[in-house]
Amino acid sequence: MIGIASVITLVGIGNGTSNDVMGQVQSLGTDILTLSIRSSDYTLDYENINEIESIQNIETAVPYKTVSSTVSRGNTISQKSNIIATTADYFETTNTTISDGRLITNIDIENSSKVCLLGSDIAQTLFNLANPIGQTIKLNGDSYKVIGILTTKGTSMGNDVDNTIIIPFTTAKYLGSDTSISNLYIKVNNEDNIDQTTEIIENYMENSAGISEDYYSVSSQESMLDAMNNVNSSFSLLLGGIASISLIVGGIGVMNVMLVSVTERTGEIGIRKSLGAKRKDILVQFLIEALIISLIGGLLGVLIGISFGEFLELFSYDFNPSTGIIILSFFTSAAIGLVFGIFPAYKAAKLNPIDALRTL
Amino acid sequence: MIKLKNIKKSFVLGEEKVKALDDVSLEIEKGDFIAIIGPSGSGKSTLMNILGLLDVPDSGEYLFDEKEVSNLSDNDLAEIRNKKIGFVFQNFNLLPKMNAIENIQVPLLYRGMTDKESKDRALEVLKKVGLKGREQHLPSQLSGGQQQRVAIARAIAGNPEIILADEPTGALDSKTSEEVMEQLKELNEKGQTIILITHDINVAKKAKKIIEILDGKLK
Repeated sequence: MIGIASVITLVGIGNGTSNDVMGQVQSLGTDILTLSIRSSDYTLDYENINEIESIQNIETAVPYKTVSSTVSRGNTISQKSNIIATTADYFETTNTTISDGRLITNIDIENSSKVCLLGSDIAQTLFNLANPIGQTIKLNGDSYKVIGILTTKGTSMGNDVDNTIIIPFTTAKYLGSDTSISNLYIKVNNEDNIDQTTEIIENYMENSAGISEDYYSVSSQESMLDAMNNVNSSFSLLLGGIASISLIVGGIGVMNVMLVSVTERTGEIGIRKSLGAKRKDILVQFLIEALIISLIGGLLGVLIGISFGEFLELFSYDFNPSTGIIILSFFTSAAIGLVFGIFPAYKAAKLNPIDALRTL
Repeated sequence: MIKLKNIKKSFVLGEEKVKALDDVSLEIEKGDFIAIIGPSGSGKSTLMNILGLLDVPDSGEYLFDEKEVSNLSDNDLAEIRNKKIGFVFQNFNLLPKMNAIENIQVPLLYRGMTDKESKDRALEVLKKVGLKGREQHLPSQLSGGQQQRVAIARAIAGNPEIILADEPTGALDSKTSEEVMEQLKELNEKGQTIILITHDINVAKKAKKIIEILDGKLK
């Protein structure tokens, strides 16, 4: 029962989480490449970006940086927010749109203006129903003017846009970050050209920018999806492991209960045998009992698993129980009941009637 | 119908080997009502178990309907017990979680009757033993005499060739004992073969024939 419950919960959460991540990855668009430099010894400059943008098939390349900072307005603090420092092209590259205000401009970049765009959830947290445009919020205690609001994309969509704050790339220096460029989003004109373009960029990085392939990576959303799927399948393997151990434990439990039941009811077996029960009759009787015990356990497990999963949803986990797993759990319970019920049932069936009757 | 010849059976009790049955020969004809009487430890229960195919003798011949039973399989023995023998035990041996009707149905279901057929038959025999109206009662809700009558009903439900009653009145007071014995007698008068095992001479007297057993030997 506990085995089934944990399997249902874990697989449900696993499914939910992976759907969530898949959703995020996919919503970024499959025509986007991410270039990341892993070594702090190398950086790119705006010249490099211009050269990358001039490569065939590449529409835009935009530097970005994630910074961390406290976000507050007055006494209100926004707890979970991603702050992205980037340039004007970010919006076109990542298909991010605004519902109000204006975008970041090159002047903001040049002046390292303390301005920001807010995701809709953050705007709501900090401003409630008031219009945030032109108001200020505090990042690490410093005042930033709100110039725009990002379009609501819903919680499951891209990079959690609704909890994102976007600031000018160069403004990151006020928030404890440098202004070196080490991450780029690169938009390719057609997703069929992704692989080809990846090679061209790698070529450019090594030959023109002089950065060896050990120090950077170019990844497409597709390769990230593949990686995600890999993580998912190892997660599933782990779950399978936990599941089989708990099911074996459950099976031993069933066997134990049945052995006790056979011992307690030796007299009944004797009576039934004196009335003409064959070995087969007794065997079937106890197997059915084992089956019922394990199916009740399985059913309880499914119910507990689902309710625990729903309970975890209150803590913003995504829970997505699959019907397949539920049905599989049921059949597994039945199989466990049969397999672990055979030994006790066989023991009952081959009792000698006179010995069994004597226990009465 | 039943023929025992030179049946021997012994048990090991601690260091000692006890001869429970020592060269017992016995013949039972259709329609007999035989009481086997003896004190406790005389071997009468062992004899009953062997007659009822619940136990096997160490040596000797046992012919049931002219068939030697020593070389029958467990399943064959179960089938004979089911179809040809009806047991009535001292402590009734009813299944405690089943009501009167269900208890009577058990052996009928083992022989492959449907639930409906067996229920009809169970109602019929329950009426025969005078317990109409007690169909849904659990054994714990019935008196000792009533429980024994349910057990008799269960024994006769399958029209057995022989009824083996092991101290059927042992757990009952004298009045209900009387009733149960009347019941058995009545059955015998209708042609039912009955073997009664008892230590009580007054009970044994109801039978047509009394056989004494002492130290594993018939007299």
